[in-house]
Amino acid sequence: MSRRIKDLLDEAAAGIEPRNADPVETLVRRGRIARARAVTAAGLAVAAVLTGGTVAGARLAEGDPPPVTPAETAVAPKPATRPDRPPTPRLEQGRIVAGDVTLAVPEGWQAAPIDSAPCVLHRDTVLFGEGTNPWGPRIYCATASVEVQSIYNAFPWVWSVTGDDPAAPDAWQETPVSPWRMVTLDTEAPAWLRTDPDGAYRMVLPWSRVEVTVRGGPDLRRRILDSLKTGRWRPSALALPTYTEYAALTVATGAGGAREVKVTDRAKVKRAQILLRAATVVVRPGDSCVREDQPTVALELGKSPEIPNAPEDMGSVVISLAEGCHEVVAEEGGRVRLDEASLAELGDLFGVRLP
Amino acid sequence: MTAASRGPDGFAEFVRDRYPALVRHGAILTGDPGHGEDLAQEALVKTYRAWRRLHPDGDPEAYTRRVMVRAAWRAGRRLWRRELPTQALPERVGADPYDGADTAHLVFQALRALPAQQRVVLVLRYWGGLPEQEIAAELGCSVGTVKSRASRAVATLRRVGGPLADAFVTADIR
Repeated sequence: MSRRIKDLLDEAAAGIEPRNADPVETLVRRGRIARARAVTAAGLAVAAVLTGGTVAGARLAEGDPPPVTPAETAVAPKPATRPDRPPTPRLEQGRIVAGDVTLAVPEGWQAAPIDSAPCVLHRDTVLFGEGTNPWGPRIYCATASVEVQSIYNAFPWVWSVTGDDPAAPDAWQETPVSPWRMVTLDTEAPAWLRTDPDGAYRMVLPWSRVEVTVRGGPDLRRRILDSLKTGRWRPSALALPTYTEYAALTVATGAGGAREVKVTDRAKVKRAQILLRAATVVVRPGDSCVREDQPTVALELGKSPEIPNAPEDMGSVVISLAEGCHEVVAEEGGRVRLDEASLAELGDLFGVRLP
Repeated sequence: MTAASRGPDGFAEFVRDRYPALVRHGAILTGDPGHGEDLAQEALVKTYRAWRRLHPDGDPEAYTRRVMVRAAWRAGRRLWRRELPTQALPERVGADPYDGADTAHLVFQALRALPAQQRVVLVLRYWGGLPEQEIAAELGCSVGTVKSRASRAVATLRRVGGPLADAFVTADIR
């Protein structure tokens, strides 16, 4: 019985030979990179005091680098491309740099790595760190007026704890929240915006795999949004997951609430993909019509992953429902317009009337 | 390979000696040899970073295996709502050097049909031979959770069928 089960597992495992016969060099290199990232993040936080910003837990007595002007943070000369993995945010000359995204640390504020920050709300502070959890709730307990983190995916839900013990298995639940609203930055990068139930205002730059969270009022949000710089993005058609098993439409229900309608019917999932792929009217630079006050729906396409760390298994699109502006932005890249009939048919697949 | 690229003293030897076994452990934990190797490598990177504490007085293999188990378990916690066990797994496209139409293949197919947390408990219980209390301590959960995961794993395997399911027909699940 138990012996037989063990024998079967032994037999299955016995035939496994590693694909990498000598991984030492790879492991050492990866270990050094991981260590360097941790050291660099901490070191930069300690060493860099710029534009009046100070660093949590440490102050420099002298040797402050010169302030950085907006002109020095001009957009990258080459078109930006979506990184395969989330970038590692770091502090560099008074700005948080995460891949092609940079954000100025407000004057007089502190900046510190989030993974070493105490578990409290840090006011007038920018916490930054690498997104480490592709699928689950944030692993960091510290919060701040502004947080800059890289992300694997932009999910149309928030995580909430059920029960008393957050460490308990299945303690975390996904709760759908209002679909992301959209704006387009002057670099053509889309920014997805949302106010979560905890009051945090989230700005996701899906093509850059970066999320900026602001815990403050509209003025601070505007300052931070205006301070964001990204690479310049080329127009393109939607990049969608290639293999999908489900499609989930998140629609707003008012007062910040939302409901998710999920379909796993292969024909419907395929049709949803076809409708989106058929949208070939690519939005040209300067032609984006989205605004934050426009209603939206979010559509998640993907397959149910069998393994962890497989963010490529899903992707979201956000669709503006504004009259005359059915703009669609895919998480993995691409911005197109969807015609009215296609939008309506897309809604029908989920039993939702669109627009 | 240069001395620098071999890492700290003893690390290269440890990896060389134990890597195949760790990959097999990962394969069983994930139900997929390829992902098992990824899991082993992720854990070994952590082992590399902790090497000073583990060598020569510690137990780097136990540490690595614990990291692997916890990573596999946490993955299940994150994925619990998204994982949908299937009765018939889709055929894979292209040749997989690990695949074969034999018992091992069927065992892995069955393991892949399990949600991650059920698979981890099953592996620790029946492959590792750990009592439920130890599994609960290892995973930081209650004994009841271990029992329920094990029970559901067996139920799922029975639905899927195959040699593992047959082995469980008369197994005493406590």
